[in-house]
Formats: sequence, C-alpha cells, structure tokens
Amino acid sequence: MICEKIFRSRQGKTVVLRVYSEEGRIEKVEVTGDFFADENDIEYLERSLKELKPAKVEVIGVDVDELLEKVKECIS
Amino acid sequence: MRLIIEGGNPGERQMALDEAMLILASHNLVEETVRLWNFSPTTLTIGRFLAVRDWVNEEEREKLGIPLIRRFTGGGPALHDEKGEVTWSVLMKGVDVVEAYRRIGSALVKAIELLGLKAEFSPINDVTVMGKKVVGMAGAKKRDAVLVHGTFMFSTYLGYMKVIKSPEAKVRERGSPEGRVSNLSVLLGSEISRREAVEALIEGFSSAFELRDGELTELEVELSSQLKFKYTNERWTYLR
Repeated sequence: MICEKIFRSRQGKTVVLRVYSEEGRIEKVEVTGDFFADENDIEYLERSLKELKPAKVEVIGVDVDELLEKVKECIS
Repeated sequence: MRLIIEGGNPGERQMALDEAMLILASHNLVEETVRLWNFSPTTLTIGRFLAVRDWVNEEEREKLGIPLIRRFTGGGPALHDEKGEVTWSVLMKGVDVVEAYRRIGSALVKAIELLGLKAEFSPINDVTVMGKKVVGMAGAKKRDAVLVHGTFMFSTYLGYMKVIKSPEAKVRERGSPEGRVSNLSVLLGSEISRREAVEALIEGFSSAFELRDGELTELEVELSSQLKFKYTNERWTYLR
C-alpha cells in the first residue's frame, strides 16, 4: 500500500511524501520536493522516518518534525 | 572573485562543470567564482530531490524536444530558454546556503534595477518583480564550499512553462507556473537584449563581490568532462 502526502511545508516548500507499507509495516519512505539538503542527509532521513524516528539533519525549507508527523498520519 | 563569461553549452556540460567547481572548491583547489552562461539547447532542469512524475509534463516536453537534466542542487524545476535566459553560477566559501541566497539575491535585485525595474528578494530562493518570479536560485554545499546557480529570465518564452507540472498543493497556494513566472522584457514593456542582461548582471554581482576576469582551470575542465556521463544517464535523471 502506498500512502501519499502532498503538502506545502511551514517554510513554503512543496513536499511529496510516499510511505510504502505492507501489512501495517513500513517498507520504505520516500521524501521528495523542492527543498534543499545534502543527499546523504536525505537518505538518512528516509531511513529514520521508516523507523518512525526523527533525524538530526538540516533540510532547508522543511522541518523534520513535519515529515515525521505526516508519516505517523499514514500509519495511524 | 573570478568572473567567467561563457556562451551556450548543453545541460550535461553545464551541470558537470558546476559540480566539478563545487567539488574542487571544497578541497581548496579553485577560487570563488561568478560564471555567466546559458543552456543550449533550451533545457528543463529539475531539483536533486524532485520526482520526475510529480513535476514534469513528459508529454509536452517530448513534443517540444526539450531535454531534461536532474541538477545536483535542490529546489524546483526550471525552464532555461536558450534565447531568453542568462544562467549564472556563484561559487563561495565559508557561507551557508541561505546566506549565499541572500547575498546573491541582493546582487540580482541591483541588476534588475539597472534594467529599470524594481525587484525584491523573496526568501528562500527567488527574486520577484511585481509579484512575478524572474529569478530562481538553487544551491548545494560541500564541506565549506557553496555553489548556487540560477536563472535570469530577461526574455524567456513563457509558453515553454507548460512542460512544468506543479503538484496541486503548490498550485493552490502559488498558482500555476504560467501564472507566477514572467520575464523582465514583458514586465518592462520593452525587449531587453542578452548583452544588456549580461552587463546588468556583471554590474549587479560587482556590487556584492569584488570581481576580476578569469578562466576555467585545467582541473575544472578535466573533472567536468569526467562528470558529464552522469547528466546524460537516465538512471540519474529518473532517480526519483
């Protein structure tokens, strides 16, 4: 199952978040959008979100807690 | 700071060169730079973290024969009209990306004012005139080096904007790309030439940075030619 959240971040960037899950277990989280970040940080962030954990990374244009909230909405 | 003025080149060369400059600057192997250039042919670029299926109207793009290049910098999609845009890159050391946008934004505001229009830096990464976007910036950081590149739409053909697809959430808040983007000639009401645009940019950037004429180094040419393959490879372009 794919849960898709498309939203404008509090800082005004467009985020397309896709949570891929099977039988209630998250298989993969994909974070895309017009924000700015380091590529390694985004990979780390996606892995952390899959585990429903916040990541200490800098994403210009999006707050990490906004992303975690949306992932949680997908599985609630 | 080195000033390099170039003409048009394909997107893969332009992106490979900007990435090579950033890598080399992060190892202190090239100096800070302002480079003025353009895409040839007209090209659509997308930010490093965009999914093609969400942001590109592939049918229109293919119909118009416009190549697609994924940048190494973040940000949104950008249509680079070969005849109506001066593209620019700024390589800086010891600043963060947001501070770089602010400093470059002030230079671009100055450049636009020299052409007779009042412009505003619109954080995080745009410059607008009368509420319309005429400049978009995109940056990336490697160690203490930052490269920001962007558009300067002096006469971009706005009909090309249909190759950009915006997610509904963005259209609701900001409007369609055709509606929120314009070019300086349209807003001024008279045609601005490339030469006038380049001259205004040189003066604008000179107000923010101390510029002197320079050239690409052999290292930049060599590394960029090695990186070109990435930008012609569909596995990179359609990575997301």
